[in-house]
Order: sequence, then C-alpha cells, then structure tokens
Amino acid sequence: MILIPNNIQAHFTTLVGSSSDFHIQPTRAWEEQTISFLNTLSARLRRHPEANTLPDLMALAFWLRKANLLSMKTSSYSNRLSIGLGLTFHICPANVPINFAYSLAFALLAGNSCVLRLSSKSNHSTDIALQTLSQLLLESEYQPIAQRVFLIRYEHNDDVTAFWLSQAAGRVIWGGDHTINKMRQFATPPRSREIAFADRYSLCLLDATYISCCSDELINTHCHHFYNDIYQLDQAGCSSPQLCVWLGDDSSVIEAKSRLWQCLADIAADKYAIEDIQVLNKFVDTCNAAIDHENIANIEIASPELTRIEVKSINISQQSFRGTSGLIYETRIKSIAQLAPLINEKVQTLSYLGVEKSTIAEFIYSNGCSGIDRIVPIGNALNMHNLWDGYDIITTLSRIVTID
Amino acid sequence: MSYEVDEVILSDWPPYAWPKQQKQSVLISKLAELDQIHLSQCPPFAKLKQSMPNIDLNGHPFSPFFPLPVRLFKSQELKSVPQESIIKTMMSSGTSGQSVSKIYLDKRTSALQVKILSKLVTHLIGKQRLPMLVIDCPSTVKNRTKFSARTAGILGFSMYGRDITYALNDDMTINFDALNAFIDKYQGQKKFIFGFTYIVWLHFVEALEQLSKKIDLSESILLHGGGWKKIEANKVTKSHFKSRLANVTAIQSVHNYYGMIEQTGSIFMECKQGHFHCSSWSEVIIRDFKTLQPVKDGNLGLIQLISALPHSYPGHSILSEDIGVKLGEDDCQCGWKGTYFDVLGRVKQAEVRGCSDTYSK
Repeated sequence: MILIPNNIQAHFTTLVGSSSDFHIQPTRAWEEQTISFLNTLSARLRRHPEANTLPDLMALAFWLRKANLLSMKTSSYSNRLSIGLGLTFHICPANVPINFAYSLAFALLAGNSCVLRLSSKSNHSTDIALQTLSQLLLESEYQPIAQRVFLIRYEHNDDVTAFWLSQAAGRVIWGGDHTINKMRQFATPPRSREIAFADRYSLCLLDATYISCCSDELINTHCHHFYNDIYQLDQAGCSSPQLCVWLGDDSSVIEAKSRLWQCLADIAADKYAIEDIQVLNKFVDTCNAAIDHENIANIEIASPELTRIEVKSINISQQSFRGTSGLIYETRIKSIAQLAPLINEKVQTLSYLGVEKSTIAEFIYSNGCSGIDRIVPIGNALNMHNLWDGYDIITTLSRIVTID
Repeated sequence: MSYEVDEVILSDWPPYAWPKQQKQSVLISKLAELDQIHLSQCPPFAKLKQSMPNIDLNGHPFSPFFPLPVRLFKSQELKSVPQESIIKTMMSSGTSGQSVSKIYLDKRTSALQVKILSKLVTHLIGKQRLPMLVIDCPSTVKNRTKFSARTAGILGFSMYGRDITYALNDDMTINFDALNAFIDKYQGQKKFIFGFTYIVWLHFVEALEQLSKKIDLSESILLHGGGWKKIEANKVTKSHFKSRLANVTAIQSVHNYYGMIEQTGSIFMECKQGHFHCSSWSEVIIRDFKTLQPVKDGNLGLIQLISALPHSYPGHSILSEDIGVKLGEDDCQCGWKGTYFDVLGRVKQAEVRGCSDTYSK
C-alpha cells in the first residue's frame, strides 16, 4: 500500500491500475509468473486484428515472447538470487510512445512495482497496447501483477513528480539530458537507484571491399537491414546511425558507395512515406550544415528520401551534426583507428557491415574509448535489449542477495 | 554613393505594368547584382552557395537564385553590411516556436522598403491621404516595449492615412464612440481601413455579429493581412470573410495582402479578382514539396519568394513554409500584369519520433 495525498492524487489521471490496490513489496527477479504474464501479453498483442499494420506494436509483441525474455535472462547478471527494489517510478518518452511498455517489462522482470508517467502524446499502437494490458490485468490469475502496475498521466507538475520520486527506490528516466537534469533536482531516498537514458550518438562502419564483393541480391538484403536502422524511427532514435564511416581505399569506397546508396534510395522510395515537412526540415538542416560545418566535401540531395553530406574527416564536433528522415553524413577512413577522435561517452551504438566485430572490440579496448556501448550488425541498431547504454537494466533495478 | 542612381531607377519601376519578358530581364539582373553583394559581403551566404548543390534539375529563369529557407534567419546571423550600418533589427517568431528570426536593416534597405510599400499601397488606394480607421487598439502602438509585427504593420500603413482612428478599446472591444464619430465625420467620403486579418475577424466582424449591430463603412477600402491561419482553423474562407464583413459594415472593397517580414515592403496585394499579385519587385516560384523542383502552373507547392529590395541581408530569394499555387501570369482579369497566385496555408508539422528530450517540451 502507498498513501497518496489528496492534493497529489487530484493532479494525475489513472490509465491502468488503482492506487488502493497498489502494492510495493518486491518479488524475485525473473519470476516465472512475470515471464508468463509478459508472454501472454505478447500473444494477445500479436492476435490483435490491427497488429500487422503497426510495426512498433509487432516489434513489442515479438520482444515480449518468453523465448526472447529467457535469452535476455541468460545474459543478465541478475540471473541469480535477485529481488526487486520496491517502487520504481518511470518518466516515459513522448516521441517513442510505445517505449513505456519496455520500461514496464524491465521493472516488472526485476521484481518491482511500477508507476509510469506516460506522455500525453499517444498513438494508435500505444492505445492498443494500453487497452490489451489493462484487460489482461483484470484476469484473476494476474492479480499479483495488477497490484504492481500503476500507469498515470499528468501535465508537467513538480509536486506530483516530487512525490513519486520521494517514494521511489528506483527511477527510470527516458528523455535525454534536459529531463535527467530536471529529475535530479528532486529529492529521492538515499539508496534510490537511477537509470537515465541520456542523449546519445550512433554511427555505422561499413567495409567497402566487402560491399564491392557482394552479389546484388546480398546488397539488397543488407540495404533492407540498413533501411530499418535509418528510417524506422525517422533516424531520431538514439541508436539510429547519423554517420556512415567507409573503411577502405579510394576506389573500393567509390564503388561500394554507389552500389549501396542507390539500392538504399530505391528501397526508401518504395517503403518510406516521407511527409512534406520532413523534406523541408531536411533541406533546412542541410543548409545549416552547409554553413556551420567546417569540413564538407560534397552534398548530394539524391532523392526526397535521401540526402548525403560527405565530410573530409571526423572529429568530436561531428556529433553536433544530426539528420532526420534520411539525412546521412558519411566519410572515409583507411583504418579503424581514425575513428578515435569521434568517440566519447555520447557514442552509443556502432553498427557494422563487413567488419570483424573483434576488430571493433579491440579498437575500443586499445584506445580506452569512453563510448560505444553496443556493437551490432546493421539492421539491429534499434533492437531493444536489457543490456543497454552500457548497463544491465534489470540488474540495476534489482538487489542481488549474496549467500555464502 | 553610386547606389543612389540605381535606387532611383528601382523605386521608379511601375508596380504592375511590365510584361513578362521585360520584368524578368530587369528583375533577374537586379537579383544577380544582389546575389553578388551578398556573396561578397555575407560569409554564411557565400558558404551556403558554395556548398549546396544546384537543386533545379530542369532550370527555371530564377534558378541561379538559391531558395534560402526562411528558418535560416533564426539559426544564422545573415547580414551583408557592417554592424555599424544596421539601423534596425526586425524580429519575428516566424514559423516554429522558440527561436526568433532576425532581419538586419540598413538605411538603404529600410528606405527602399518604405518607398516600395508606398508605391504598392498608393496604387491601390490612390495618392491622396484618406481618413484612416485602424481595426486595433491604441495600446498596440503606444506600448513600444511590445513592438511586434502588429505594431510595425500599423505604423507602416498609417503613413498612408490621416486622422487615424482606432476602432477598438484596449480590451479589444469595439469603441463605438470613436467609430461612430469617424463614420459621421466622413460619411460619403472615401476612407482607408487597415487591420490584421484575425483581429478584423474576431474583434470586429464577429463582435458586431454577436451584438447584432450594423455600421455603415461603405465608400471604404479595407487592407488586411497576417494571421490568416488563426481564423482558417475555424473554417473561414475568403468569400466568407468578405460577405460577412460586408453584411455588418457595408465595406465592399477588401484587399488581403501576403508577405513575409523577411521581405518587408514587397508585399503581394490581393487584386479585385481575389488573387495575390506579384509586382515588378517581386516574383514567386512554386516548388514541389518532395523534389523541391519548380512545378507547373496550377499545381500546389512551397512558395519561394523573390524580392528586389533586400540589400543589407540575403533575403532576396527565400523559401517559405507556405503552400501556394500559381494561377497565371500577365492575364489576370483585374488588368494588372505579373504572376498571380493563391496561398493555401502552411505545411503540416510532422509527428515527432525518436528518443531525445521529451519532458522539457
């Protein structure tokens, strides 16, 4: 039970759950019942008549499958005697509304009770997910879980936020540097833990020689993967690539570029429903870059879906140049060591094609890189995982009990 | 001061008399001169022109003049004269929230704006100063700490009237005492009325309708502009606006105007046929939303605005975020030469996706 003062209660709307039934006693991490609940949620979402038309909902349903959860369990440190922290409070992102579901799943799997502040923006996928979730929580076998879930919405209100943070044994903040700084101004219990998703920068590394040797069919497959990384979240996801780094000599890079970009532009023209304002925004961003960037070699507006800005060399200032909706920066390096001046703690995901992953790992260790948390084959840049931003989310949201 | 010569020539251009070929050759040579000025005097503009590819695949008479997105006046400091020559910086919140556009004016550009605006207004209302009614409240111009586009507009257009009377009280209700006195005094005479579109609509037309009052402002010519989108949301069309206005005020001659703070002076007047007209100093190009290529007449697209006036900042060719359609050139029933077009609103903002800052907004 948690006592919510009336003046706080008056300022939020409850979407799922009830404050009178809400329970903050922790349970074991990776509890069988939680996994089975999420698996059932997965099945219900997949069965929804509109699921096929909503890629973000399908991705969530796929992710919530028991098989996927168990594979995350094996890679998580909390796969021993771990128990939840108690009450977790989540500030969920507005611009990827469906992410609230991942945040909820992590905290439940860690054995916590969860209060989530959902964005006031919603979309069709979120509505379906919320509806399916609340129906499932009405079923008697899931009552223990229903008591651990409390989803609310409120306009920005420091009193409400301060109340929940004062109670939270763990807090999960999606939403970048500004939101994190804002949340840290509120008092929390001394042992309260935090998972904060800051603003990040991501890039991809492509081996030109490999691409030059690929068959047309293989190029096409790679480009479909590449397309997902770049266009699925309009390139605005923190793990979507902003910069393509070509590894190789002049002639192989020229050949690889022409093959890959042409193929990607064709796929994007076919699959990506770009809006007028996105084309305009991209043009504005390109003009600003033309003025502000010190190092541009060439700009090519290849199609409404794809603009490429080639830069002569890279340094840390490159991170401030970002594109959306298919505005890609690219450059060429002769050896992976030339990446070093770009890497700091802001760098999250490095997706790769045709490069040995051990080469990248070796680069990170030998250069003592403070960034690059994920090294994934192209196509996997947006795949959510318990191991994210350099830490184990479920372990961080649970308490490991040692017994000797 | 060599520029005084061409300035005389520029401000002597006839507003709507030149046929296409003549206008194009004069305007293009003026723009080429402006382009040279800005290339040599405005480093960000030079860098832009040097780095950006030529976007026009098929070429257009105005292709050499890069369509500079208006939003760049927010993110970049674009000026082509030394700081000490700047006499006024105009600011507008413009299209997308937080940051403001900054337009730097020197004496020459500022004077040109006044001259050309005067040419366009007097072409419409005649050279004689008319009794003028401003559909706004006096505090809009008195309170200079809140100098806005509204203030600038009222002050700018007030130069073409006399005995300026404000139709609204400071609480935006109608000042019937002042209004009736004005009507009595100038009954049967030609009068000039100016107001911002949404203010005329909300605080004048709708207010009169709600009070079930009718006033007699026949023999008047109303010039209005700005903020059309605020009332468009309530589904007010042009003809709607005119007929309901006429019903409560008996005003028959109504002219909307279209323009941007980035190109103050060279505004596009609505002709008797209800179309916006380019003058000799201005031109529009309609560009495809997706490919940004100039489209054929009659097709919708983004409006690129050309103006011969900006000498102190590179605003001679700008890409707006407004949707327009070119209806024709030199053949409007109203008799004015030049391109005529319609404006149909603004490009719709996209749904934001991704995972950057969210709580702050």
